[in-house]
Amino acid sequence: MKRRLLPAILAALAILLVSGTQRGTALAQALPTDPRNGVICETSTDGHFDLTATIGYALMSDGNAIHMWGYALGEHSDVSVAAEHYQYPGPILCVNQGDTLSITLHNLLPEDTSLIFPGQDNVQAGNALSQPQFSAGTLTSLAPVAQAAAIVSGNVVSGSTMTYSFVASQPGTYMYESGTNAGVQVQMGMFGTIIVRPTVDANGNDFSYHYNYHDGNRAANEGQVAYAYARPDSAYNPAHEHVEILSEIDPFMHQAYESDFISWMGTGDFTAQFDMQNYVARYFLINGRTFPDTMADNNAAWLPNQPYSALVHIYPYDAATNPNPALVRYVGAGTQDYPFHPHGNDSLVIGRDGRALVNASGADLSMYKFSIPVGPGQTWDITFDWKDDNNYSSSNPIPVTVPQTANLTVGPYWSGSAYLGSSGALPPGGEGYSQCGEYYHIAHNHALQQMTSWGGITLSGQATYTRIDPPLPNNCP
Amino acid sequence: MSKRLSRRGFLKLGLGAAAGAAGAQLFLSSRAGSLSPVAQAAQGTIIPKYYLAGTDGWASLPGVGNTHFYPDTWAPTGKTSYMFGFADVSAYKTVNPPVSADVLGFKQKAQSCAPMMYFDEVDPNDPNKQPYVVRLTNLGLAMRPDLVDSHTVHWHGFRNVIPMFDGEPGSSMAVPIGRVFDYAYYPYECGTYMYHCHFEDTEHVHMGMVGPVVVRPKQNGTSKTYGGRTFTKFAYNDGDGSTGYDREYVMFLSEVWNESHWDDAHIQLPDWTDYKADFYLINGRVYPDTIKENGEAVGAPTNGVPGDLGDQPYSALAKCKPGERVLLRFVNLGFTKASMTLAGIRMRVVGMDAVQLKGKSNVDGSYETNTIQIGPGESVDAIFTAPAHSGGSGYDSYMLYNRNIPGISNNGNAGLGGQMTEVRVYPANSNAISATQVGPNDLAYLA
Repeated sequence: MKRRLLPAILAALAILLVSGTQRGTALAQALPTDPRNGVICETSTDGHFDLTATIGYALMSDGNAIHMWGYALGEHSDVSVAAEHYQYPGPILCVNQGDTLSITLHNLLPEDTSLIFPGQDNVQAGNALSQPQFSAGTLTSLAPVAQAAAIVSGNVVSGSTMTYSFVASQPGTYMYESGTNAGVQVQMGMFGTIIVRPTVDANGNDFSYHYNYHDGNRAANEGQVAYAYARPDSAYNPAHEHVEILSEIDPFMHQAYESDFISWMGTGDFTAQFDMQNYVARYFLINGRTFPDTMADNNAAWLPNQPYSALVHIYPYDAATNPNPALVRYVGAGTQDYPFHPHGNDSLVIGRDGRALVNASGADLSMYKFSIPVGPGQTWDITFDWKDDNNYSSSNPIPVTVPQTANLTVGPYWSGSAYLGSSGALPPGGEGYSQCGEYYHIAHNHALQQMTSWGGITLSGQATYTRIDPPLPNNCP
Repeated sequence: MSKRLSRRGFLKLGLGAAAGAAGAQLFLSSRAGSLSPVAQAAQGTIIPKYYLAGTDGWASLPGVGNTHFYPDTWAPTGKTSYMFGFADVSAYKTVNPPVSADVLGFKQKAQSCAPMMYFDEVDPNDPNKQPYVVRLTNLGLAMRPDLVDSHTVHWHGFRNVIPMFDGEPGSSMAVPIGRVFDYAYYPYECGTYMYHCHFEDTEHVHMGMVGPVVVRPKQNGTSKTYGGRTFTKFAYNDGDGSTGYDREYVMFLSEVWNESHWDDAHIQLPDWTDYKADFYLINGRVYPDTIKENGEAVGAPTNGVPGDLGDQPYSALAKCKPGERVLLRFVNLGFTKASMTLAGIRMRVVGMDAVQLKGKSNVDGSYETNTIQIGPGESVDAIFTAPAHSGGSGYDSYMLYNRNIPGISNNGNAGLGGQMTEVRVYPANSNAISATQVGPNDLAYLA
C-alpha cells in the first residue's frame, strides 16, 4: 500500500517544499508562546478569525502520510502555503461568554464548503440567519457555502468566502464542522473545537478567565484557578487544561480523494470516486495523532500539521498546595462512541455538550466515571486529579514482595521504583523514559480494536498517557 | 546514540548496585514465596485472597457451521474456540514455592470468564487495615510455545492507584512465564468493577483474560429497612437501604471474534480494525449454556458433539422469589456496546462505574428502565423487584438479552444464542432454590 501512495506523497511533498522557508518562520514564531502540553488557544481581540479550507497531510505513527481536508488558520490564497498551515484537527478557537465569534471561511478546495456550529443559537451567515440550502427543492448544504475553488491556467484559485457569526452565549466546549457534503468533508478532517469561557453569573459573581502564562516555567504557572462554567464547583487549574479530540480515518477514502484532487489540479474537473458505503475506519486518533505521537509535545517538529499534544501532565492532588484538578475537554469527532478510559482515577464529569451537569434548580449532578463514552458530535468536560491514597514511600513501603527486574517484564515508562519521585534499577537495554521518578497512567479507548491501527499494529491508535510529576519543587525537566 | 555515560545513567548504575546489594541480603531473609533474589521483601507472610494463573485454553461456544475460523479444527473434543485466560489456582495460594507442580497443571486450563473476585470495602482510617493481595503467575501458552507473552492484572476502575498495582505494562511491569507478582489493594470504594490482563491488551482482553471484581460496601451487615423490607446486603453505602437486595448476579459481557481466536491458535495475526464479533458471551458462556447451572459439565452441541463446559464454570441464570429485590451487576469487556433488555420486569439503575447515582450533592439520579446500554469498560448496577408468581409449582421465566440483535445469535446463524439468559421467579413456598442465596451468583466461594 505504501508503494501505491508514493507518487501521491511525492506530489504532495513538491507542494510542501515550495514554501519551506515560510514553514520554518511560522514554527519559530509559534513555539515560544505555546505550552508543551495542554490546550493551545487561538484568540482574537475582536472575536474574528479567518479559516481557509484546504488540503494538507497528516502523518500516522506507522509512517503513512494521509491526504486530509480541513482548515488553516488565516486567509491564504496560495494552496501550497495553505497546506503548510493546514492543521488536523482544526484550530481551537477560544472566546469569552458574550463575545461575538465570527469566522470568515475561505475556500481552496474543489468542493463548496460551509461551517455549522452545533450548540450555538442564532448563527448568522452572510448577515442572515444561517439556514439549510436548497437547490430546486434538494438539500445542498446545511449552511450557506463558500464556493469551490477553480483551476485557472493550472493554478488553484480561491472560491468565494462566507462569514459566520454568533454570540457565544453559554460557556463550555463545542465543535465547528463542515455542513456541506458533511459525511465526506467532516470525515476528511473538517472540524475543530470552540471553547467558550465563562464571565459573570446571574448574581454578578466573576468567573472570567485570567491565566498568567509563563513560557518555559511550569512551576510559575501553578497555583492559579479558572472555571469551566460560571459555577464555583467547575474550578480547575488552568495550567492543566486539555482538549482531547477523538477522530478516525479510513486511508482508502483519503487515498481516493487524494487521487481525485491530483486529477482536479490537472484537468479542473473534480469527481469523487469513493463510495462511502465502503467506509471502514482504520486509524483512530487523539488530537489528530496516533500513539505514541499522542504523547509528543505541542508543535512537535516531526508533526508539522498535527500541533496538539494529547499528554495530560499533572501534579498529585494536595488539599493545601494543589487543590484544583486538571480539566479535560473530550470532543467526539468520529462516527461512533469511543469509550475512553483514563487509568489511575475516575474522571468527574462536570459538563456535557456545553452545559454544566446540573438539574433544573441548579443542583450539581456531576458524576464520577471510569469510562467516558464520547459519542459522535458530543463534548464531555471532565476534571481529573490523582493522589496516592496510601502515601507509599520508602518509609511507608508497599506491602508486597517485589521481585528483581530480571524476574519481571519492565515497561518503558517505569522509573524502577514504586514510589513517586524515586527511581531505581532498570534492566539493561530498556528504554527508561522516566525522567524524574514521575508516574505514568495510560488513557485509552476501551473498544480495544480502536487502540490498534491498519494492518494489525497494536498500541498505535487512540491511546495516550497521563504523566504525574512529583510535587513541586522537583527536579523534573 | 552516545556511548558516554550520562549523569543520570551513572546514578542509575549506582542505584542498581545498591539494589543488587540489598537483593543479596534479601535472598537470605523472608521472601514470601517469590523467586530470589528480590528487590524488596515484604514484612511478614503474605496470604493472597486470590491466586490467578495466566495461560491459554479452549472454550465451547456452540454454534452451527463450518467456516474457516470456526469451529477450530485443532480444538479438543467438545470445544470450539481457542482462548487466553486466567485459571483459578487460589487453592494453592499458601503453597511455597508458589509455582508448584499443582499450579503448573493448570497450563492450558484458562477459565472463561476469569474467576469472579469479591472484596470487602476497607476503611481508609482503620489503623489495622490490611491489604488484599491478588497473586499472579504466568504458565505460558501451551499452543504457542513461540509466544513468550507476559501477563498482568489490571483492576479496571480502581481509584488513585499507583502504577505498580495498575497492571498496565508500559507504566510499570508485567509477569513473565514462570514468575510471580503480588498486587496489593486497599479497596476504599465499593461497587462493580472488572479486571483484565493489560499486556498486549487488545489481544489478551479479546482472547478472554477478563473477569468481574466486586467491592462490597461497609454498610453490609447493618440492617436497613426500605420499601417495607429489611436488608443487610447493599450495592452501595446508600444510608437509606435504597440499594438493598436479597440476591445478586453478575452479568459479565464479553465477545469472541472467530478470526482472531483462530489466528492466535494457528500462528497468525488479525487486522484488529476488521473486528466483528461472532459470539457474545455472558459469564463466559453463550445461550443456551448461560442457563445451565454453575459447574455443569456438558453444554449445547456443536455439529452434534456435546459441548465441554469444563473451563466455563459460571451460570448466568438469575433465580429469585416474588417480592425479592435482585441486584444485577452488568459489566462489559467486549468491544461493542450492549443493550441488555429484561423483558417483563423493570429494573432500577442505581449505580454506574462503581458509583451510586446520587451525584456529589445526594440528588437521586437512579432511574427505571427495561434496557441497559453499557459500553466497553463500563459497569451498571440495576435492581429489580421480582414480580408475583403466576401460580403452580414451576417457575416463571423472563428473558434477559442483548437487544443489539447480532448479540443474540451464535456465529450469525438463525436461532437464539449469545448474550441471552433467564430470570426465573419461583413460587414463594418453593424449595427449588434456597431461602437465602449461598453467595453471589449462587457461588458459595464468593459468600
